[in-house]
Amino acid sequence: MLEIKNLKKSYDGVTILHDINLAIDDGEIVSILGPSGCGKTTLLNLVLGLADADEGEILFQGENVLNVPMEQRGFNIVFQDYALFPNLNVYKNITYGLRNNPSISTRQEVEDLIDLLGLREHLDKKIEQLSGGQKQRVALARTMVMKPKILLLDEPLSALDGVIKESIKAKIKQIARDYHLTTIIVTHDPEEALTLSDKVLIIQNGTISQYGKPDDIIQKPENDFVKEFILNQLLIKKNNIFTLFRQGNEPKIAAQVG
Amino acid sequence: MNRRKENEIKGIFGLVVLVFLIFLLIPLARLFLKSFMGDTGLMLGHYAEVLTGRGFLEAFGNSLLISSVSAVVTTVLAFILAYAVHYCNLPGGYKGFINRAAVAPMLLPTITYGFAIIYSFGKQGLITQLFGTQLFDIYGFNGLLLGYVIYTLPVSFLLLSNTMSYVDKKFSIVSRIMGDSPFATFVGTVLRPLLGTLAASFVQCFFLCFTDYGIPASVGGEFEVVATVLYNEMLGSVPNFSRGACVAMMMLIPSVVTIALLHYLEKYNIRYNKISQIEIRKGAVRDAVFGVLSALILLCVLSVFAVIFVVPFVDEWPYRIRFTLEHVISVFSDNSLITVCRNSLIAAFLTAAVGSLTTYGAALTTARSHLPGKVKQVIENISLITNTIPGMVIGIAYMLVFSGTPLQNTLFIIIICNVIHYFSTPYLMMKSSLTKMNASWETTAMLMGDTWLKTIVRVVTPNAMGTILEVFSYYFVNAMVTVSAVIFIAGARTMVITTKIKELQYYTKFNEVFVLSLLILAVNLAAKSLFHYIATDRQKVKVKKTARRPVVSKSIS
Amino acid sequence: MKNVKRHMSLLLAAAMLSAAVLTGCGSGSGAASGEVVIYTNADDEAMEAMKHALDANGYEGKYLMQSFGTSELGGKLLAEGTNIEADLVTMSSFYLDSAQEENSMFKDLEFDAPTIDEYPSFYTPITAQEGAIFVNTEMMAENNLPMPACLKDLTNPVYEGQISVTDIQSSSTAWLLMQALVSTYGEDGAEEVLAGIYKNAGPHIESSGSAPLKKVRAGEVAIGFGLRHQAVADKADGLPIDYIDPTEGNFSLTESVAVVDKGDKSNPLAMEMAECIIKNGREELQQTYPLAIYEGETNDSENLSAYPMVFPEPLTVELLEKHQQISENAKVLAEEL
Repeated sequence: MLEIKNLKKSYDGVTILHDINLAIDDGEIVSILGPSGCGKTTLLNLVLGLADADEGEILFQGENVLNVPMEQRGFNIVFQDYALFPNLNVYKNITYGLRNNPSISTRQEVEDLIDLLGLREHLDKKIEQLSGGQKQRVALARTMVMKPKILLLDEPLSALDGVIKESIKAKIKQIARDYHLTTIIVTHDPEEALTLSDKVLIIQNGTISQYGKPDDIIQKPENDFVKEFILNQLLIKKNNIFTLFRQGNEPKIAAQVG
Repeated sequence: MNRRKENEIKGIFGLVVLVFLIFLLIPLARLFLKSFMGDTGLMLGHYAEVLTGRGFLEAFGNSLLISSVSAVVTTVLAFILAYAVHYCNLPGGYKGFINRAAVAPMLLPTITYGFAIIYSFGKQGLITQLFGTQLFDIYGFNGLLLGYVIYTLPVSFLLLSNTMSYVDKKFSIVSRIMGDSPFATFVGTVLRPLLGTLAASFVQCFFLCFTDYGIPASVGGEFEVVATVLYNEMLGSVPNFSRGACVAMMMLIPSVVTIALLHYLEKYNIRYNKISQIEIRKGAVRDAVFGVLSALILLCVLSVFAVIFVVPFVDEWPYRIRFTLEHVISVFSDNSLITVCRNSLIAAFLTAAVGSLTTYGAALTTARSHLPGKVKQVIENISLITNTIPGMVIGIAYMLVFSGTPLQNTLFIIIICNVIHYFSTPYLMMKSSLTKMNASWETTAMLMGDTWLKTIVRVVTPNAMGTILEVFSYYFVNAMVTVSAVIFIAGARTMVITTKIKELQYYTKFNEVFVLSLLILAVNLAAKSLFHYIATDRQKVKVKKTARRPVVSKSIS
Repeated sequence: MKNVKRHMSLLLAAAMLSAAVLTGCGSGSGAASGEVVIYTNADDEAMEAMKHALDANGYEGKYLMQSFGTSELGGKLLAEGTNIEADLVTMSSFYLDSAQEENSMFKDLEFDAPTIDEYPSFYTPITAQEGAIFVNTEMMAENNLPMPACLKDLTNPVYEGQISVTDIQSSSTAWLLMQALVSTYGEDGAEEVLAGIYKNAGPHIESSGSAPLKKVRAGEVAIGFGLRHQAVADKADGLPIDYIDPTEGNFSLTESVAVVDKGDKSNPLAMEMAECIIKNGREELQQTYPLAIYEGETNDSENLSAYPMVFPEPLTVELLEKHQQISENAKVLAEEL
């Protein structure tokens, strides 16, 4: 259980985040959704420990981790640009953490991750030879080898296209389920947030606009911001897709993901 | 505090600053104290004398003028060369030639530039004889401009070419599609992103010209510059360090202005997250224009040095033009040559090693740490100061401070002097390369259990190896060719090849001067190709290993 | 990766090794071997003569002779004082005067060498170097220039752009020219003649004493003024160079030997070597620098100049500064001509 209480953060006197209160259950996928500049990345950095909070508490399994240094919190992150090391090949990137902590994952666990993320055939490639989706999977594998207590993902899908996006979404869900791993995802895309996560945290102007299950957000939007900016966007998308798939224009294949 | 303490980087910063404190600021302070010292204690009398001296202000103005003009011309020429390499569809071999030829002048001691100009464009010069008439009067503004441009072209080219390789070329395409005129595209997507580097190039070139003494001594003519005034005061027929120090102080004024200017320009430096490798647009006219312009520029530069390959193998240029190896033999039969060569190689090699470490450490603190901006500014200012101090001033300051210490007359002091004297350009190269690397590496690696130092060794350094080797090579080459400061701090047992050249110049044995210059050129070429080999060998090994590794992963332990 | 590491570690190992070598020879060998270090601004010929004298008298391998340009050695003497590496210095005499005044760094000489003129107790001359006009004979012919006979001839406008001289601000070689002018024409007259010469020299007023000969050799100018023996050597070498002794006189500057006072650390051999250079080196030195300095020497060398002269006043720094002022005035005057 991750609890955040009265979190506040400001830079140079400008308040970025304030009055953040929420709880995340173990194994849940939570998306932090909001327009750019709303403070969602700052929140991610606070949880990770990359930035210091001004006020408040972050409790993990009942313990305040706010004063625990980043590397000792045991959380881990995949950055938006993946931050893969170009001087090392795929396999060495994945097993990078083992050089410092050989016992953190067994050989079998690493092999399982490689297979789960479909990286077996790419192990000897250089980073620059990979596509965006492959890079994302390598970065995921590299982080998972570290067995994080919480997995943080910064815009994991924004640089990916259509089908790849869906397959990565499936992988993230699978990992969270298989490993019973609390996963926090930052995204600006409502569709992503609402289809990927158990709960969605909508942030606007540095504070929580609504926090709830996707269904609740769709059914019971708590304010105009959620209605106009989040739901309206989805509605337009829905209509567009309905127009495409109108009567007599059914595709001849069944949807496949994976 | 959860944030990393960055103690390692603070340590590195402390070390770098300490080195510069001991070997730059204290010697300079010691010298500048002299400028205020009179018979009756502290006073400003020397300044009054210097300022009212005949022609001082004129010389100062001349220096500002010629250095600015040279810096602009050099930067424009270097821009054309770098543009031809990075933005034109020219054959790979030709691009390779431009890359090498543009930095060629750096491989020769500047002491030879003046002779080379006189022996090329003078009344009896090689080029004058080829054309049958003297192309232009080489004494004064023209000669200085030519000399300075050749002298500074390599540095400018290195800086511009380095940054251009990081500018995202996709933006040019975007701009054209958005309907910008070619000119607007050029300004918006080539010039603007380069503005910071163009300014840096201008500044580097300006100070190289402003502080150089060798070229005006040869071809300055009646166009007096401030470096000559400095020389006359410091080492003229009546040497006066106090007045010399005044002149050196005045020469610092432009650097103060520059520090402010660069601070202002800082915001124009653009960081690209991703460099797209894209096809360069077709443009036959553009390619032809830049191809030909580059050829012309390089032809002019290299033709000046052609004479160096002719004179030493001729009996007595230009009177007895008959092939002979007499001068070569005479140089190589000198017993002391082995010692000076050995000293030169050791000094150059260790300068390169220590210099690479120092610049790397300094660049890490400014490019990859979260130290406050003011702290980083300290390193930036140090870098600028090293650039604005004439070598002669460093040499004399070192004599004043380190005489009588165990450092006197050691190779160590020569090495440190070189590291500090040439700090600026390699630091800029290193910083620009480190800045462009993914900013999340350290955090990511730390989350995987790395200490900061481990990340630097395992991730940052391997990825910076190309630039590190470039910096290594830059330091090596410059340590081989430098003379202005070394001449004062080299002892009888620590003489290097360039001080030997200076001796021969003093004896008016110019043939031998050229022979030794060629020797230095040969060493530098050999060294450069060695470094190049190491750099490329490394890539090949990587590819080979990739191909060889079995698909099934090995055990993890 | 392994390969890079191997390369880098090789480089590093080499660096360590050379560092060890250098600290070894940097600090240890100098003091241990007890070699006398000699700093000199002498020309090649003079260095050879001194080496011959030392080697022939049992000092071979016991000294290390290092040459410097006059300016650089002058700077070292002033800045380093008795901390200078050298035990023995040969240098233009009046620089030795300045260094002694500034740093009291030389010992009184402990041997007798009776000179014709009087010199301070802490140095004694090794050579007297004369000034002369020299010409590039090919350039003279090519440009149909008349041969000058005296310094005043150099003010003739036909020589415009064809003369190279040294600036007395930066090099003492120019003092030879100045002494000749001042002693013949007085201070005002000297200023006027010099202005004429400067006007003709234009861009060729050099900061280095050897530059005029360099320019004459390269054919940049036809006429120069500088050290006589260098032109003599060029002519003997078969270059199209000839020299002319100006009727105003061949004035001379001496270069002298002095022993650095290092207190307890003074090397006793240094004094012996100074004596040896004077006692045994003068004969060979006189072949290049023919002027007699010591009693018993004669001016009978074939290289003897036509008008050897001595400036009536002692050559002090104050006198040099006075002459520098004349030169500066002449520069201003030249612009008005």
